[in-house]
Amino acid sequence: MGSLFQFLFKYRLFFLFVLLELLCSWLILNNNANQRIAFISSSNSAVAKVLSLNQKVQDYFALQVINSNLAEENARLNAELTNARLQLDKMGMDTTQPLIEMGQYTFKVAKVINNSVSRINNYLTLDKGTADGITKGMGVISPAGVVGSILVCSEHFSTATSLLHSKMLISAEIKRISAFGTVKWTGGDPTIADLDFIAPHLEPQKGDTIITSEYSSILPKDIMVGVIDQIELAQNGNFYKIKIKLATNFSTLGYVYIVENKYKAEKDSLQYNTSKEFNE
Amino acid sequence: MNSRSLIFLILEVVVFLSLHILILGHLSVGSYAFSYAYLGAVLLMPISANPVRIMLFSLLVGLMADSYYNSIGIHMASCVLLAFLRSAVLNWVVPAGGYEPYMRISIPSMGIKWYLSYMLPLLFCHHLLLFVIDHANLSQFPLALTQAIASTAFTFFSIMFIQLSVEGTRI
Repeated sequence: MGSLFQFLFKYRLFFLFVLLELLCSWLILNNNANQRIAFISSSNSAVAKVLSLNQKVQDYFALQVINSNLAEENARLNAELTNARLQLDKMGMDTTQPLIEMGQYTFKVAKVINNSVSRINNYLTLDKGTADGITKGMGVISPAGVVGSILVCSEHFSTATSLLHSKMLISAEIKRISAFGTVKWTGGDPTIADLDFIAPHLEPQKGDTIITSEYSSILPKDIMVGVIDQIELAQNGNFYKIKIKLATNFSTLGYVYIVENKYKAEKDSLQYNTSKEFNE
Repeated sequence: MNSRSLIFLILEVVVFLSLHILILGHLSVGSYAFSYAYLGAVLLMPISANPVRIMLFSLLVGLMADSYYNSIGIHMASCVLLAFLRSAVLNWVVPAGGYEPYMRISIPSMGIKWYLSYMLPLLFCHHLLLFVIDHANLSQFPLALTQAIASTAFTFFSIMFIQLSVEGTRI
């Protein structure tokens, strides 16, 4: 206690100064309208700044949750959009036909946990597996466009064949002229693929959009594949040699959607049986 | 302190305050330079005066100025700061041999260089705090700074003028 008084006495001038200044501040704030308003508004804005900073920090930590929520939301909207589009397509046709059932495609979000673009055959590893209802042969798309299809599933993970794979063929069409062809990657640049089997009487143009065709049982129709980058007639003159710029940036894939086609098995077995009957 | 110098001191305070209230407080150069000559009453207190007493005295002087300007607290706060800094500045500008009992805060006694380096920082600090509180708005800080610098010069000359005319060249 004694040393406290000693301390207070030693710095008595300073403490007196602080005390008197506090007294003066109190007097100022009580008697001068301008200063009082300035004090109240500045203390309010200081509190508001602290609160907004606090909110920003919390937002930052919530980003991961928000990100995955958004991806889920996107998947749901994507499914609704694709199904609505299918419905719309059918509506313009024969109305006596039963409309295709809602929900032909379901979308599930998966995170890409491994990925390569530099080999001849590239695969992706995704963090969803049989436990999440993923099976072999489902399609994989990204928000930008086509990615590939599921190859192998374990309980919690699955491997997908990337479009950047020598054996991967995607049934596609040129949107403007509805010309069907096959997209195939031939190695090298992961942003460029080939579009084959476009007959020479058609007139593809540079910049035309390539989308998935309805022929594919893996992927829904109208998924973006890429745009035409370069066109030349092949040497034998039967087809064009078309280079397309892929819509999906494979080197920066984060989240993808796994697409399930409810009628895939039915369609595949029908087509298989047809070809068998024909061969017999 | 003998009674003669005490009477002289009181007289000086009265002179500073009344001259300020009657004449100098009404003067200004544009809207930038104002004279706060009443500060001379605090600044020219004897060097050996007790700092605590100086601070209480300056609170009183500030109160008088505030009742003149009708701004309770603003001049008081600035004057208390002035009194607090006064003892610190006196320690910084202490002459080589320390303060002698005969030394007084005036140009003839201490020399113009000492006088300037004692007066100007104190006046500037006082004026800056005064104008910042007065504007009550940090966005007007450049204006407050300009006014503080201009007023420091004005106040300094008025104090020097009053002191020289009251005391003459008495050492």
